[in-house]
Amino acid sequence: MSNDSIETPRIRPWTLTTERIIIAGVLAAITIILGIVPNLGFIPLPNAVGNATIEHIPTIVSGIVAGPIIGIISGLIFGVLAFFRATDPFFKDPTVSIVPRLFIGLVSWAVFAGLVRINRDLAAAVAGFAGAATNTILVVSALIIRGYFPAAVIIPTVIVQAIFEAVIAAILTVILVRIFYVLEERVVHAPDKKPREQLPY
Amino acid sequence: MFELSRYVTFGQYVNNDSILARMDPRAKLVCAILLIVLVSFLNTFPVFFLCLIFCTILHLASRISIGYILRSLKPFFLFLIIAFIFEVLFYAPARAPHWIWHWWFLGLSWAGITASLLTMIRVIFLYYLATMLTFTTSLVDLTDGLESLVSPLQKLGIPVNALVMVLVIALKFVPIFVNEVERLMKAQAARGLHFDQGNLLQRISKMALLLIPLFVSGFQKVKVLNVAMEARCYGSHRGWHRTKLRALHYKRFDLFALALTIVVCILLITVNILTA
Repeated sequence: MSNDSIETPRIRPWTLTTERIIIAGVLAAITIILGIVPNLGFIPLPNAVGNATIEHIPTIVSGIVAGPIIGIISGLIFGVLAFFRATDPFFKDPTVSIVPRLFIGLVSWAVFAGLVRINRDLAAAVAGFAGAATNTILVVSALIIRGYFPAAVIIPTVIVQAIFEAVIAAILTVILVRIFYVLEERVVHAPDKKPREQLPY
Repeated sequence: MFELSRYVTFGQYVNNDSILARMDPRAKLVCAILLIVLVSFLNTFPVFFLCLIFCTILHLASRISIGYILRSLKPFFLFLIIAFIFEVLFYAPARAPHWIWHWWFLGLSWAGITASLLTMIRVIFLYYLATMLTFTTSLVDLTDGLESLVSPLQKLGIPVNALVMVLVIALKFVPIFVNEVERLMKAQAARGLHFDQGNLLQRISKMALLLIPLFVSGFQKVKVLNVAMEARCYGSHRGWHRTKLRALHYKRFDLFALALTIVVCILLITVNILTA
């Protein structure tokens, strides 16, 4: 993707457009799918907690491609889904399952918007890493603050899983953001670099 | 393993055209919230007996077979029994009770058993009421009702309409994506891919074979739906008012049900205070 492609009109990040609402809806549907289809949203890991989840990735992507408000809305939906499907009694507490998730999209948007001037793939990777890290860090600190687990027990338990999740999120986010922008440019139209009468068609 | 659309269920709406299923979703939501909030504060046995009578009437009105409800409760019971045992053993009253059996911080007392039994009954009633709401209301109706109930928040600048639209789109797309995932899994399996073998990196790359086409088709659907909705002038601007194809109207039965719920609530509170 070269930089001299056509100028898409800049939409301010804090506005809600129809397209952004639809992006949030479709990504929320994918979040639901990752949750209800067995084995799709989890990657089994050989450690105590067992699974690295990738359910937060749609939320990260929606924050990156559709701005902060959609990021918050997607986070809210992700949190509510996690709240309702939780079999673990600790996640039946909204301060653990919903509140930390609101910040995933926000953080990934902020990181992406800050770094996108340097390189889009780098920005997406760092944003994916930061989004996944936000999820883990805030959920774990909510568990500690609410007094369910002492910090000395839970941090060594989740640290391996957290790193895996963040790396997986970074890789997948790069791919998914690239896909989004490829489709975006294909639908608009190819840039016309020659004057009209020299074109072969 | 590939018949996803058969055993992945999302939402458990039973459309049997009973009075409860035909009720206005707004009225149903208000009733359910009132009852759920109330039940979570009740704490005597006679009042739960009254509750049982009310729920029996509710159940008869819903015309759903009791076995169906109990089957949905089954995974819940084991959790309940474990929670009950823990709560009885770790019961720590304000003043020293008459222990039946006591060892260090574990103890068995009648007060503990009664308190835990009440908690369990309360949880079962809460679960029953919440399940009843999802059994008798389709998810789209539920979001419609929610939208009109929370629409005052829109005036405060919270984008409630956008949030509800996101929910509606998500719910409508879930069956489409379930089919899509099923097709992708079959297509990859036909090429000889085993999803449940291999080490970590192999598993991740196999996951990507499903996830990336899923996201691609998702983003393509975004484009199509965007054009379709813009062509129909979707949007919220100052002075615009969206109307609905199926507008919600309160009927006489809805008002009757609301009034009945309020009467039952008052009755339950009175009995609870009298027997406490």
